[in-house]
Amino acid sequence: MEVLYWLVPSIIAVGAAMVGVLFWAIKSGQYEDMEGPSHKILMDDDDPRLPGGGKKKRP
Amino acid sequence: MTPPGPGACFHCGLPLPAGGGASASIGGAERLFCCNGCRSVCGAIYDAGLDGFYRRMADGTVLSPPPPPPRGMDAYDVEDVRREFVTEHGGRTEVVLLVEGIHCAACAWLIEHAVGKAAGAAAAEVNLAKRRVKVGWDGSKARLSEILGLLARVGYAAVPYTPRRAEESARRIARQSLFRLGFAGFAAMNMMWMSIALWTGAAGGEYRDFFRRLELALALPALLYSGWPFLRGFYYSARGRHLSMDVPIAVGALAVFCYSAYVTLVSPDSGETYFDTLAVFLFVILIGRHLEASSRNKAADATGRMLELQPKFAALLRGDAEEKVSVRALRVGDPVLVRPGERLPVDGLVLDGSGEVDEAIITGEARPVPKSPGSSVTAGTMNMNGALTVRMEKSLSDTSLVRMVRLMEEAQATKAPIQRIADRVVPYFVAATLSAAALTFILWYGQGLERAMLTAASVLIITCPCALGLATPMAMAAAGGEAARHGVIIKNGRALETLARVDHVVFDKTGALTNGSMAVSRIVPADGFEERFLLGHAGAVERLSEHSLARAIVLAAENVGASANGAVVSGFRNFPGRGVSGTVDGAAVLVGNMAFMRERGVSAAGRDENPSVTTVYCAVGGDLAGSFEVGDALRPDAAPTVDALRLEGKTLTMLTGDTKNAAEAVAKAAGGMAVMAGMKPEDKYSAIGEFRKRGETVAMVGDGVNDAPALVHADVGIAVGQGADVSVENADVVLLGNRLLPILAAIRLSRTTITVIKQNIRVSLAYNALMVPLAMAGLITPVLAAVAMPVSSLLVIANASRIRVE
Repeated sequence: MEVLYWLVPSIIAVGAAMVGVLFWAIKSGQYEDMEGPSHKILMDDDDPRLPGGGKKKRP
Repeated sequence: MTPPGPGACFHCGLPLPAGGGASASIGGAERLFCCNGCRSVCGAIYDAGLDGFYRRMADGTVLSPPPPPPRGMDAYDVEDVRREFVTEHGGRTEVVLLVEGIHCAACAWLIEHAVGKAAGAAAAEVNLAKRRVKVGWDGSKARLSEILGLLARVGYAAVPYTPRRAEESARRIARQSLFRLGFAGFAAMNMMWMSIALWTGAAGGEYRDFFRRLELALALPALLYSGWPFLRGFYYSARGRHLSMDVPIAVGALAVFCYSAYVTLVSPDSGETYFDTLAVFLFVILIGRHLEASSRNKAADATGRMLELQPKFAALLRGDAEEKVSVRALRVGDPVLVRPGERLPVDGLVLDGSGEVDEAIITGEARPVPKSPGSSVTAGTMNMNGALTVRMEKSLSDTSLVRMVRLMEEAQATKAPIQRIADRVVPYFVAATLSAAALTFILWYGQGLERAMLTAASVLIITCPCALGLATPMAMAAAGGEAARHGVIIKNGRALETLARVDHVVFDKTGALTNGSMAVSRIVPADGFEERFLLGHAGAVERLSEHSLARAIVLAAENVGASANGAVVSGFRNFPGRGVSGTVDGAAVLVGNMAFMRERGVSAAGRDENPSVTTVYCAVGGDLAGSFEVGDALRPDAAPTVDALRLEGKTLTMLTGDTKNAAEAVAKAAGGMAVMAGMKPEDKYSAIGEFRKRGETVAMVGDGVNDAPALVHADVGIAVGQGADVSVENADVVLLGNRLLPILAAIRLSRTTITVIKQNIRVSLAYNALMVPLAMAGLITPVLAAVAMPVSSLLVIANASRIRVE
């Protein structure tokens, strides 16, 4: 079980790296709008499954 | 979305006026619209191939009708105006726009795609929460005004925006709190699994010290970094000798940390560690604080947006020539020209010209106010008709709008924190806990220093303020859901606790007690004229006018189908402040006020004027054909609400910017209440202050920009859901669905909630009364603590879920 002595700290290091990613995300403003992006993905133009079949211009 | 029902406007989803509003064949089908504005916006959306917008709207979304197309946007292309807003990044021009009318994700989609059609490879990024759009494009291919025009065509009024300094610092603080929250979350999650390892065997084994030290290594930065706001609060609180909620949090956190650190480093066999409790505790409390802060920031954002109502440029008159300049370049005394359809850029006096100005943001009244040389006008109000030359009288930092914003910021900053029920208990609780710990230390001192310290610390740990801290938030959460079911949103716990104590309810008139829009309430044809004939002629002429009274008459004409006869109007003329004239089917038609009729030799005598409505007369071929009473109708549930509030013994007052007569009439119709008329926003604000000084607990019900300072100042601000952004964001309670009756449900809910909160505090105190003696006796084992602490919290949660209102 000696493996724990380096495995556990390295897991925590990975976690700390994730915190770094989170800090980067906060700094780059990704948490400024908590509403828009969640919808945006559902509004993709080219999705053929949309009722009406995506971006077909009607006359 | 499924197409709106047969009775709703295809574009905005509002109910159609009876008899149908406008209609057009768009996208291969006949569509019905509530107004021409919606029709042209819908046409523009289809023309641009963006009809996907309608499919993306959630079912039942109601948009506000499109704003009138703004004018004079080309001034944004003037170099020194433009330079204030845009930034250039390597050939790309960037600007942040504030956009009114963004409701939902579909709006964001529409804006992004509409802008994408502009020349110069424009790309837009919508911030839905802040209603801002960042646009970047090739500045040499398209002008800023073209981008604004594009948005206007699809129904959004956009103005360029420069962030204020106060807002920047608020944003930095919000980021700081997210960093702390994120780190606390990381520490808490990792300590969770380490605790599992410890409790499932490592506690007795060779890895115990390893895991404990790792936990210590994580807990130290969590305490110092994530817990910093509490430690600082504790310090200030100790220096200022008062007990805030930060004190039990900091004392608890420090006690847990020091105890666990001591156990880990000095005497591993004498106890257990609680680092995981510490991290989770900080994490949960930080979440609560963050949510609270973001709702406050939202209110501050909305307040800041108010300033954007003030135009950014003005037409400065130099002799006979006019020059577009940035408003910041104007000096007091400068004459500026304001064209119809433009907002007034300055506070000043009218030098020349006459017309009507929509002062809704200052007075709350939809009815335009006539202006002539010598009248004073206010920045941000809308010039409806007639060009005005205005002399600037007040510097930009002293306009009514700026004063209003300052008033609100002041009120927000100085709002005395109302003592919450839990807050009242906290000081005693903290004092009792600390003395119990001190007593324990003294009693155990005979058994050795270490034993005494550990037992005293266990007292601090077991006196869990959790239930106390949870008592209000849990009741709040349960009450929030219940409130939403009744059509109210209660935004904070303070409002929920205060509502029950309200003894004075203050109403705004327009938009709160009344619908807030003009409609024809009565049609009086003169002898020998038919109603249909009257409506047809008046409607045909008024269709060409932009006056709000005219729109009401046109709507009424369309309601009876009287406008469908395709009457051709020739020789249309607008007489600002008086009326309009034109020729329909060869007959001269005059529509206007009494003075206009007299002027044109039409005898309109012998008709009584009702003060709460405006009477509009119509003459055909020189004879009076009849009159219309146009007014703002009382909300259908205004009278029952007022009655019920009076039955509960509340004092009722109406504060309005309208005239005394009009206000009295509405007050009477609503069931009677004290009336204070002719109130400006700052008057409403100080009136609320007066009531509160008398010791009353005041609730203010309002909807407009002009009510916002009063809403903030009142103990509870209640906004009507479709009111102005700034009032909705700054209110504590929001009425959905434009109904007033939910106010009563909210008050009853508040009473139930207070009862439940008090019960919860008793539960929490009973738990502590049981556990503290055990801890003092040194009988607390980790297992007992692990069972008892959650049980007390669960009791509190279960009790809160009982909150209901019939």
